[in-house]
Amino acid sequence: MSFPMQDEWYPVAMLSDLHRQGRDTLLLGQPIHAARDPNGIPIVTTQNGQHLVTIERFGHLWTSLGTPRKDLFSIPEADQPGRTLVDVGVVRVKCSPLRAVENFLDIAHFPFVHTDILGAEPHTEVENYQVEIREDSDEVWATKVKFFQPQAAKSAEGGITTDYMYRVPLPTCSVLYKTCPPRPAEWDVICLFVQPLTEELCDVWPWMALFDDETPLTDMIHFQQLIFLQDRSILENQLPRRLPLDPGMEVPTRADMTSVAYRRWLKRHNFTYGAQLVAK
Amino acid sequence: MTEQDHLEDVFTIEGTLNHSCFVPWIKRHAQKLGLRTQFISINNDTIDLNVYGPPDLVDALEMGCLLGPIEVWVQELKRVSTSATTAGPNA
Amino acid sequence: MSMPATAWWTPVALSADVPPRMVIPATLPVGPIAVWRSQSGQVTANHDRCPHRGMRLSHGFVRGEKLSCIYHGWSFGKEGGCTAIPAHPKVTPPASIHCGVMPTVEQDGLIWVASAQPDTAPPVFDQYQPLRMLNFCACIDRIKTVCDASSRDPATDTYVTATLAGFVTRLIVTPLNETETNVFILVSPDLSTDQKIAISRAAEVLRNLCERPSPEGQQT
Repeated sequence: MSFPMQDEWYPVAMLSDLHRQGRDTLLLGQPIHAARDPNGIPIVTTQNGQHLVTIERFGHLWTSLGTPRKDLFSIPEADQPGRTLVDVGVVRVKCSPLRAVENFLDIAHFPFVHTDILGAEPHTEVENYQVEIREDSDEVWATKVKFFQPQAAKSAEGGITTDYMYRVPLPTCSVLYKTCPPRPAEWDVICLFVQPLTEELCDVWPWMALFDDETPLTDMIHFQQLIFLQDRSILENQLPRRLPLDPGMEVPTRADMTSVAYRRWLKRHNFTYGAQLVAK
Repeated sequence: MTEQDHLEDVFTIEGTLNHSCFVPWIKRHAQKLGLRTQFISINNDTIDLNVYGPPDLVDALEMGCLLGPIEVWVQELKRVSTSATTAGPNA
Repeated sequence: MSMPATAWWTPVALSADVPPRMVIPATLPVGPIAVWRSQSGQVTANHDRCPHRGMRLSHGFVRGEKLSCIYHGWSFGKEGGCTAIPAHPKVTPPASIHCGVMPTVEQDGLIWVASAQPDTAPPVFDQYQPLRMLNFCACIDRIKTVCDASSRDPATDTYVTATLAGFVTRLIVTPLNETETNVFILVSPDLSTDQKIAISRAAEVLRNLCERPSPEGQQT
């Protein structure tokens, strides 16, 4: 029995941490095994020995249970010379994979969940921004997003108004572009690659492509891990567990426009693994 | 106490609307937001309604209506301001 | 979340466990609630779910007379109505955006909550004072059996009498579900600290006894 999300791409391992022994894991509820074969090539197999399609990109191994309708998305900024590419490492979260993505698209929580790091009171207003579903690439994009932050990145000093763009290229992936203090004409790129284990459990693989020659790699990793662990305490305590596609028991406001667009995009494609169809 | 302008917007919602479940849904959601609504025309392709209330709360009704119940698909939601105060943003 | 109305009082916490500007999670038989005390000392209980995007309000914070959600800072007054939406500072939120406040009474050192307004006040316990609350992974019948059911107060059936560390205590037992029960231990006044500690330890022994399978091999 197949469903639309089975034909999409998902991260299942970090390449730098993938060896012969591999890892047993789940993808959309199905047991799979990711490992390197005797030639060092990453492979993903199901319980009955079937080999799944794979792609190595952005420091991670990607696979699909079905037949993806297109190639894995690209991030041109990640190929720029001088970028530091950072594998942050996996974090398991007891929440719907769709909730993990929706939280990553939200900025109104910065002053409250990431206090004095990504935002602070009284700078809580979310000004209007633009959201669209780009028909050519079939991706959700939010642009002209801005927010005042006391310490936006490890390489920032004091407070700045940070510009953001958000992009959803796959049902369980999000790419964030933010102001890069050392190079104001460029964007820092921070990604959340989410592996759906079950409808209420996921492995989150954050990944970054930054212009930052000064901050030690471990500091960058710790910074991003701190941010994400703060988000995890929210994600594991939201009701209902699954992402509502009917907001009848919620009050979305204009600040939630990216979330609304993401949910519309999921609904249109029937991407409902981890979704709550009836408001409860 | 903040002074707020009150909007009077006309929402034109188009799509596969399943009006028998969408209209009660819109009424409930508007009531939760403290807004007054007046339905002008209803069918399964288009619903037109007047919405009265503070701009940010009218925006919130738009956000909710872009999703609605699972049986409804909203292709487009247009807003036209009929009040003297500032019109809300288009999504 | 809709809760079926239960028109009786359930104890949810000791007053001493909810000081001013604190919010704690608690459980009614019908679902999770957030219990908080404002700066001025007033206790409120509401559904443990923010109307914005469903975050548990028990993870939030209390400032002055308001409870705020930790996720986006939405604030609620003691009547449950939303008073601020920080992402939209110019909005005066309508009271129709609310987090569902429930009838609450604070009496004799206990906080009592009901899902709907009961006809009577919560029961009184003469001069017995609450010592602490324990959560037992045991059903209410098991606890009553271990404490010897005949020692229940026949008139009101509101508590079980148990002798702990040689002292007569009253236990208010509140089932949360078929396998979990909250037990409030009430003790007579004028006990020394050492005596209270002894009772407290004896209550933990009682809990272990109740949670252990019965001699027949099954927990009843």
